Amino acid sequence: MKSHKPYRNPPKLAEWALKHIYPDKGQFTSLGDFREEYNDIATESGISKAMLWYWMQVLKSTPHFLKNKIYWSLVMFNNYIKIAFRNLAKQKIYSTINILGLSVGLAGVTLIFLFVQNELSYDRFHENAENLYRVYAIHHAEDGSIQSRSRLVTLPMGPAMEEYFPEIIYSVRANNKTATIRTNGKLFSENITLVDKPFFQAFSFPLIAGNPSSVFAQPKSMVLTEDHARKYFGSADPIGKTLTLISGQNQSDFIITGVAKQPPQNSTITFDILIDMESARSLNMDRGWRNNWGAFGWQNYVLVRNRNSGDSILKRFPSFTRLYYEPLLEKARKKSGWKGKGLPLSFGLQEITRVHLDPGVKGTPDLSSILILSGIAFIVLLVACINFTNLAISRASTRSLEVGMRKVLGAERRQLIRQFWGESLMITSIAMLAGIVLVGMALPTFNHLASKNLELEGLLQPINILALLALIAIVGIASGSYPALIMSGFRPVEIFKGKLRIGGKNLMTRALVVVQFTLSVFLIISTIIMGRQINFMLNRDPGFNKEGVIGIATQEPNAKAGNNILKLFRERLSQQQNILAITGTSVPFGDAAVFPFKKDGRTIDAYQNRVDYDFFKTLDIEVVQGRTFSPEFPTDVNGVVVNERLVKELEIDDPIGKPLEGFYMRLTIIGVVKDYNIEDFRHGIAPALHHIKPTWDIAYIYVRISPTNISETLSLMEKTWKSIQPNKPFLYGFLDEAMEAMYNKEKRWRSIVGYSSALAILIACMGIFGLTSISVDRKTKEIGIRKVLGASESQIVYMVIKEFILLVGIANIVAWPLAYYVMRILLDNYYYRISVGPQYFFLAGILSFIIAGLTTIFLAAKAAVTNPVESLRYE
Amino acid sequence: MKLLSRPEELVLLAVWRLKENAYCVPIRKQLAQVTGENWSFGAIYDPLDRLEKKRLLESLLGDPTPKRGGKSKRIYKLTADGRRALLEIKSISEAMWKGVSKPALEAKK
Repeated sequence: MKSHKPYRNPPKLAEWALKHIYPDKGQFTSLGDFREEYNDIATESGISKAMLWYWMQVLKSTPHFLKNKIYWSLVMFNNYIKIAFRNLAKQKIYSTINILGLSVGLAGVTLIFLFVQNELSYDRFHENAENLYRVYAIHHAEDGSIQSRSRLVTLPMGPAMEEYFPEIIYSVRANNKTATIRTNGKLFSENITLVDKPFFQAFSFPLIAGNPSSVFAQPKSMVLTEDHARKYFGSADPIGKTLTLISGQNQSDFIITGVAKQPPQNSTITFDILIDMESARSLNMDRGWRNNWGAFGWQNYVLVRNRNSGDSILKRFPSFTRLYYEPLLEKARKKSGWKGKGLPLSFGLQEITRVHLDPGVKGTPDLSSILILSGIAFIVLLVACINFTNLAISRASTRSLEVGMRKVLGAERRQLIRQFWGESLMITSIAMLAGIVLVGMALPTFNHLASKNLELEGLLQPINILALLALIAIVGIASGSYPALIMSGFRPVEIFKGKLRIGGKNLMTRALVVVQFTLSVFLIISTIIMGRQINFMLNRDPGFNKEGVIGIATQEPNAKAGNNILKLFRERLSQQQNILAITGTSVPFGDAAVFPFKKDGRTIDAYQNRVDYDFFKTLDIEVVQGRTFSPEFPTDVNGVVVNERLVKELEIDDPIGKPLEGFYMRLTIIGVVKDYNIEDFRHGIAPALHHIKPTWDIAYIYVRISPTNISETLSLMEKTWKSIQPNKPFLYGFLDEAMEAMYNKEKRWRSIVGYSSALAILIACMGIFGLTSISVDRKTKEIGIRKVLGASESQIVYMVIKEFILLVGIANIVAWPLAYYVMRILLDNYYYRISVGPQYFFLAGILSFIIAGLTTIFLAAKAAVTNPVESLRYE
Repeated sequence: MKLLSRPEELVLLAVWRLKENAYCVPIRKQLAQVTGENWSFGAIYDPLDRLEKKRLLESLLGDPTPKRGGKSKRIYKLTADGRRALLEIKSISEAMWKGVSKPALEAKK
């Protein structure tokens, strides 16, 4: 042995491997043996040989090592699974509560996950998605600041942009208009989408029949969706067949050249029937918009060449705008006194994938509903996770024996942590499976509430499976962390000596129960208050009588024709006994255009309504001063009826006979009516003016009918309609129903919050049920002794439930201010709102006490009536 | 007493022969010399562990040497049982070998 040679360390990696394969009771003398041998070989035959030898040693022992390792971990794993299932089976209440609660919570989260994913997936299916933009208009105030952003631009803008910007491949307008389809003598009111010819080239809506580049090659071509092709032609091939399209007084036959697949639910652009803009023009469907650079009412998309095109278009948008709007600016300066230096207008581009959720542009839904929904789902899941932890804590004393036993038998803490976490992951996985079944059952209702078309199959995408696994991991680890981290640290000696004081009066358990009930009570209060607010809005007197009023759409964009229909309708029906009054408006009631009055430097937005004779009679609006429009006074076409609010805002003294100053038409005030709520009750009363200018169209006829023989009256009206408008279907609706529909969003939210508060309180109750049953179990002897010593049954019941009643009480105290604060913010969105009185809080409080009481009282009663002999004998 | 396996027997003997210096490396070297086979460490740890469990050997930690990169040696020593076992093996072997001569074995072949 040549010991003068310096010592050499063997390869680190090989040594590391060896260390694991042969730990040698943790003293690693074997490593020394190997080092010695390694150096001997190195001095005798060279370092490379030594290295080879060392590695061969490692490799040779690896298979055996792995076999051993896997064998033993499988043995332990089997044991863990066995114990986990035994525990599940032994503690049926506990397992049911855990799995049921978690599955409901997970189902909620999964639903919301599907919903959010759907919201975020809008318009991503277009192959050109990254090069598609929607053009939006930015309206500026006189000082140049931005007043609003709107998705609506002008009609002539599209072709002009296509010409001006070489970066634009296609400019495509896509807008929905209502028109009538006639086939075989039957009439259908349909939603017609007017598009530019390259629509199917720019967007990825697949065609089942027809060529994307040529469906609109011929004038008067029409593309139907699958559903509408079936509606009109059944199973026959629709290509080459014709449908008659009627708009206003114009009609024309269209040839079906293509059938498109139904647009996906996550598409911003929707359509049933498509025609191209030029054909629409031949039917005069763009009357009033054509060549009008001042009328903003159209959505315009552009497909650009590449990623950089968007920026280069944006850079040159100002020069484009100046080119088309500079001449108009001068006019505007003269006419309306625009004093701004720059243009009141500029344009922007919005990526199509952002259109659905961009709150910056008017007419796009915003993210807040997603946030609220996610919050609610999180609350439900949190309540379920708390159950898991709480029940684990309460059972800790039983389970700790197992911990002690395992530790005595040589289990390391690490192994116990792994076991407990594994167990909670297993339970969470079972709950997840059950939760997915629940999601499947709840989807139809949810789709209805959220007006979505979500499918369970959506969960099968790889990314979603990963997300669900991540959810299982998070929930499993979070809810299993108490047993895993704390119980695994118990010391066997203390466990067996009974020195551990866990479970029972555990502060943590109590705090978590309070959290659960706080959230539940919060949701209950929210449900109650939202319900009250909706009822309040539905029942509040809007200042007019919405009962017994029928609205009929004239489907007539032409002013003259619309006026004529109203005239004929009135002539033929006004003598009828059951028809009390007839009038007309140019926009549906409640949807009037706003005119900004300037008064002492501030703007007063007033609703301007084109109405007709008997408007106030039809709607039962009280006249305070002067009179309403009458055919006896021909000068009334220049008259105006205002509401009290406008008189007050404009500070007109003695208004009758005075001209309405500041308005763009010269009108004389002939009457003042009582304020009424033209909008829904989110808003206050707006100033309003009414005129009967016959140059404005009549798009809606309103009829007040007597409440007797309604169906007879309706059929009479339909007959009359057919004689006047043989080419249009009779489209009518009741005004009160339309008013109620304004609160559909609120009703949906009430349902969602209502359901989730029911779920939250259900899960929380399951939790306290489990806790009570454990605590009754533990107190069996105590109860027996108390009874022997003369305690009455009611005293026993009180003893068992008083703790939970106390916790629910604390939860209420915490929840009330929280709910008050949040509900105040919510109600601030409503001009007319209920006052948040204490009764709602008391109601929710009493409800929570009753629910919690009912949950616990049966167990308590059962314990109380048990014969003490039974309870004391059990050991 | 229970019979030892051949490797155990050889290892036990090697430990006795090496006296104070009975740790893994020289044991392996000696066995390799005698048998002409290249014993792996594993083939020695295993019988050593088993012999220790049977209380025929006991081990203690020796001083670390620089050659071992600072790691201690595990020095093995025969227990009383170990010595008795060796004696027994010897007597059994001798009894079995009695009358068996080299020429006789070779002739049968």
